[in-house]
Amino acid sequence: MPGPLLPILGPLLPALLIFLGLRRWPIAAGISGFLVTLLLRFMLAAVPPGAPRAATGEYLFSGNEFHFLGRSLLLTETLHSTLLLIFTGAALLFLLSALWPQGPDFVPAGLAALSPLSFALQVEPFTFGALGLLIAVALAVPMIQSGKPRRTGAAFRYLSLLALSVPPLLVAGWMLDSQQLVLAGSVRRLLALGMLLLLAGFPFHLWIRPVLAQARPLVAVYVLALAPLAAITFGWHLLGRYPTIQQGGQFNTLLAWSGAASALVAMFLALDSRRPRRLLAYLLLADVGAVILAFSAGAAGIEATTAIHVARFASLTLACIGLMLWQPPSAMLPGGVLSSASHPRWGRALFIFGALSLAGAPLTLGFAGRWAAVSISVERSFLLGLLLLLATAGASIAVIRAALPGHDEAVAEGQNPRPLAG
Amino acid sequence: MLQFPTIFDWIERLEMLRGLPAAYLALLTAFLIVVVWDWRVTVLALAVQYFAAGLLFVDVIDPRLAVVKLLVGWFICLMLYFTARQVNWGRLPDDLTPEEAALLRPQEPQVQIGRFQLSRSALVRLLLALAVTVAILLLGQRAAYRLPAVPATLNLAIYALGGLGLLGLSQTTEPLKAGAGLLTFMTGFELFYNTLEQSAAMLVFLAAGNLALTLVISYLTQVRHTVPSIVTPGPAEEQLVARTTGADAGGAGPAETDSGGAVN
Repeated sequence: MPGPLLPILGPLLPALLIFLGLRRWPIAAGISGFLVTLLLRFMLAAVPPGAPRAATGEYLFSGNEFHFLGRSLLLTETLHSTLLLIFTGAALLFLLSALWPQGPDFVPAGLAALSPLSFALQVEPFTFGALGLLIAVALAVPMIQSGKPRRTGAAFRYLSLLALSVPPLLVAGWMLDSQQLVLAGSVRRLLALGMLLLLAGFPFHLWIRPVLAQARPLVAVYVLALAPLAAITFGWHLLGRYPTIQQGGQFNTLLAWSGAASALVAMFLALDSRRPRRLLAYLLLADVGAVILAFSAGAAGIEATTAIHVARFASLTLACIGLMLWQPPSAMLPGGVLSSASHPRWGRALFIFGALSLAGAPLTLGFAGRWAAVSISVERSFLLGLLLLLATAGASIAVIRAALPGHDEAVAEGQNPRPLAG
Repeated sequence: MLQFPTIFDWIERLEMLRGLPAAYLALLTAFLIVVVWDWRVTVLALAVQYFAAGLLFVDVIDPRLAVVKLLVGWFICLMLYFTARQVNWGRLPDDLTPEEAALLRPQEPQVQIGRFQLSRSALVRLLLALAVTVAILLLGQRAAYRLPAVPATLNLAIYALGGLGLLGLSQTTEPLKAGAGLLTFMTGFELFYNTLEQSAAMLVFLAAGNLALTLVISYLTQVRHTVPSIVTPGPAEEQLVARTTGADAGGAGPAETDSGGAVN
């Protein structure tokens, strides 16, 4: 069977079986999801990327191409390593969900969403990939909502803003495929708009804070750290396929200034934030700004964006585990291994470390990627680099301020631990 | 022997509706979706809108594919219809007392216009929809605003569905109403996009995307209007309870407001 089909078809049946049989047992669902994703990850690692089928005929999944309806799925080396990262991250989140249950839909929907994400990355032409991302977004909505009654604002906002990213990408894709050179300016503007909507850059970041506030912590990590890795790889794939997009600088300039604006706005909002989840949301927006700035630098920014995303996943996971340990046992879901335990000190320490790392502070996981983004930005424009550096410093100060004892007391005054509850 | 009319017979019979009448019909339905808050009108208007869009699609794609588009649209309406019925069309249960109903869903401030009484939000929606409609009618038919490769009649429909769809989406966080706005916008976009790209594969993927969107809209509508959702206190009710009991609702409040604005 062709290699590209493995990450697309592989997760579907297990997702259905977990949905039908195990969703009421979070530990079993989490462990099953972990094992299936890990197995798929190792099977995918065994597929030699970039090699034609004839050369790798001895493997069950071999060859890097598959053709359907006149379109093709192509598993390049870059996509192969990205998919391995995504599957590893998903496996880790599913395992953690056995310890801290994240709602009945997290594992089946999260597993199923890996299929359209893999499709979106591999399909040629990329317009079909945009529709694959739309289907992945639709699958992420039940995860965000996870059956909680009444409040649907975050899930709907996420759905509508990401759905709106599809039309500009489709139109730009058609223009690129049909080589409408007269409309090159429109193509660049449309693509910039589509990518900003997809990456949640300013001013299209409106869903980040509600999702972090409403979704369960590990769901937020999936939606805000794992899925965007697929989106940014989709963007790189697009730029690699059509290098003319970056000619003239209009596309890059639009993205760069939006990235800088995202980081700056996030810094000011983070400095004003008193509650952990809100602070985390604005730190994440600053991180989004850094990613967009690095993305706009072209090929020079590939390593920086990957480093920032990997660090984002690790930082956000640590911060969210911290939040779950911090919150009182009554706020936890029943049935998890750690549902009866609460470790406020450890939780607080983990949260602060994760938040500092997300802010890109020195001596943390996030520093390397953030520093690379600042360096790349300075090489392009001193002002852009300075703004990103300022935003990074401001975000780190916001975390330190929030961690100070006096500030903590001010936050705690007149409230129960509910602000940290999921 | 009775012969069932073919697709082409139907198109011939509906000749008088094709072109500009279909575009105006699409505009009217989009206007109704934005302005009228009754879900029954929304679902009916959406079904009529898919019919009008189907007639417009005949001008740009193979008529057989246009019929597929129409059927997908009506299937979407069917899904929304069953969802809306299951949650009593978004209304509170009939057996509530007026006091309970007022507590669960406080009445909006009313505005008196002559003999008519409108809620303030309905008036805002009406004015905004009128402004967008006038802008579309004025600008949509000018040559300077003509979309590339698109017939004049389609141009008006694309602007109408796109503009009013976005307006509908931005007016509320109620999943079914805002979802109808999103679907209206997507129909407008497809009218434009299918003029450019007419492959069957893309049609299949767009249909899958629309159905996935509708499934999620239906899911969110169900979640928002199930009985536990109705009795779960929202921000307004929690503040009311806090005021009456003298407790501090600020810290113990919910994680977010109804409009998605987080306070956490």
